[in-house]
Amino acid sequence: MEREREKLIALLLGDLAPEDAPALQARIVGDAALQAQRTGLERQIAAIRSLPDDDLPQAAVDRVLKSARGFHSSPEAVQLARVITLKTFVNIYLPRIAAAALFVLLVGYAVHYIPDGPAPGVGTVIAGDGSSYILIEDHLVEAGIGSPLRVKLATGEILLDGGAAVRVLSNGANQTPTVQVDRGRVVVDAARAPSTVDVGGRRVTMAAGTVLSLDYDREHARIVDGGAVVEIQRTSIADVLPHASEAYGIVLDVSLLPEAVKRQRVTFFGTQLDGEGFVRSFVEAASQYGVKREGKYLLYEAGTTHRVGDTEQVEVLSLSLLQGSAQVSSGTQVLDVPASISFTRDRTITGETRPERSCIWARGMGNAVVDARLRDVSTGEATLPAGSVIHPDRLVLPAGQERIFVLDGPAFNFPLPGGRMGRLVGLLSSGAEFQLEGSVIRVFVPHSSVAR
Amino acid sequence: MARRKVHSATERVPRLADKGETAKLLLNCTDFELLKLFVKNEDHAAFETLVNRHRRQVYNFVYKMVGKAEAAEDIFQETFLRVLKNAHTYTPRAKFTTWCLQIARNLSLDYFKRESLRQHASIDAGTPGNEDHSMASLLRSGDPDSSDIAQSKELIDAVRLAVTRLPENQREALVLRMYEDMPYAEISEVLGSPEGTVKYWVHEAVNTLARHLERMGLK
Repeated sequence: MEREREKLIALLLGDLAPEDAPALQARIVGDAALQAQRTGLERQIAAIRSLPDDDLPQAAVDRVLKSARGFHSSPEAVQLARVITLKTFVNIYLPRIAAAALFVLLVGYAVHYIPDGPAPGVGTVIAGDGSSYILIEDHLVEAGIGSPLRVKLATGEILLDGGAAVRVLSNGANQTPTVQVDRGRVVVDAARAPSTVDVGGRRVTMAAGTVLSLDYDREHARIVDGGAVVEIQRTSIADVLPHASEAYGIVLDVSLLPEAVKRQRVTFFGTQLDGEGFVRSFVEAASQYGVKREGKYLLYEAGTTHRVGDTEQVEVLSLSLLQGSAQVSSGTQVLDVPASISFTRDRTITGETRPERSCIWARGMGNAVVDARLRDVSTGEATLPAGSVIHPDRLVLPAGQERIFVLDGPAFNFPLPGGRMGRLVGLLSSGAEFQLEGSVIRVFVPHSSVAR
Repeated sequence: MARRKVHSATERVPRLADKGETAKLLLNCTDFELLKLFVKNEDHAAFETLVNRHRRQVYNFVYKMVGKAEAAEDIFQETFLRVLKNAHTYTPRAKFTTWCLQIARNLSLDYFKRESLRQHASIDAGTPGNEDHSMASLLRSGDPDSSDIAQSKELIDAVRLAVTRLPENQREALVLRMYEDMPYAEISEVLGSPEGTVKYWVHEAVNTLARHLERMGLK
């Protein structure tokens, strides 16, 4: 009975173990005496609880405060202030300092010793619209067609033309980083320290103050956002087809082409190309090898000659010295970079005499050396129309206003803003260069900026 | 984050001229920060805030322990003076309420020793005749429901007296649990006893009081 009472009290105080409560509740339902006992206990507990809050007279509080006023004149007060200070430091600040120190140690450990830990920033990437982000070591920076980028480093800067891509590798604290050029045109400005550039299996060593323009034209194919950006560069005819299939779902059959033709390389760059526009540009590019289209088949038409000389090369690297001095090495061979030099995979070609033509795209990006060398060049106020396609030897405007402008043709037939007419004198993946009629001024008209 | 804001608020308190704003900032201070402001900066408003923050709980605990208002006021006053004198023993990471109630508890026990009021006999053995009689007559006069009973002064006085006659550990545990709604874990800290023991003391105290009330006619 006493045990039951103890359980009832525990139940009414909310202290009964959850596993015991259902059994007791069930017994209460079927036991009148237990019910009566519970009712009595409920009343008694309510009475116990009924003791009101006792109100402390304000006078008592005032007495406490009055007594406390004399505290600071007591001898222990000074000692106590010191103890309080010490306790504040030991109990509040010391744990925080320890926690902060531990955090710094852990982060430092993660950065320096964990292979997958966060890599340090090596520079800042700045887009044309002014937006920027921190460049992490070994991160591939890709500039989309029409969207050149600028990378600020502690040692200088790199300008990337649309379609170019680079990585920057840190060589440790207080060491100049190494720039790895993956593809495309870049300007490397070693303004404050000697720099090295790895490109196409070669190493270029630049003295401090050197500004170098590089064009690494190699096999590369990319179709972004359903044709918003199309970059087909030195890619074999056979290798273009998977990209067309993936981006547009277009299937072209090359089984009727001779193997030698399938291996021929094509280059063209476009923006906002739909499936039909892509196929038209592709066939146009391949036509120099005698390729034509009939339905889904690509056929070979014998007797056609190549229009472009170097597209059979796997890659071409061109270096142009804008300022300072640099050496290029490949294996044991070391060569001073002249004003301009080109390398194919197996041989060296010198010849270009106007280095500024290689960086015409960089006019207006804010590099003093580039701008100084390109005083007779302006950047177009407008861009090429969306849907335009640049081939190595021609510019093709989109359907509806389709016109073909041939490189170095005799006619000033390209309408530039302001009612002026221009003659096509240069083609880059990122835009076209026109000579103004009756002037030495040239105008660079970039591709429309559609992706980044 | 919130803790950080409060801390920075404390640092600004002494420099602020506006009384209303100072009071608001003090209300956001922790107990230790208030104690520090008083001891180091002689900020009496900080001490007043500390006292007002804990006056209800400390006084109720003491009053229910000793059962006499005058004695409870004296112990309350002494408790806060001891808080100042013993501030060097307070660890900021401990709960101020727990520490303060421990002081109040020790002073209450000292009081019992001095007044020889510690309970050695069961409350069943020597219930004062007058209160018992008046309560019995009150209860026998009708069939009061619990709300009526709860409102009767006589019953309240009877319960208060019965509480003061509980064994001290049961009384302390009961007061903190039933009247201060303190969690068992915290009571365990104040009393320095295991939670299970504290729970047992509370149940025993309720059982004793309930039997007492039953004998008085509250069934």
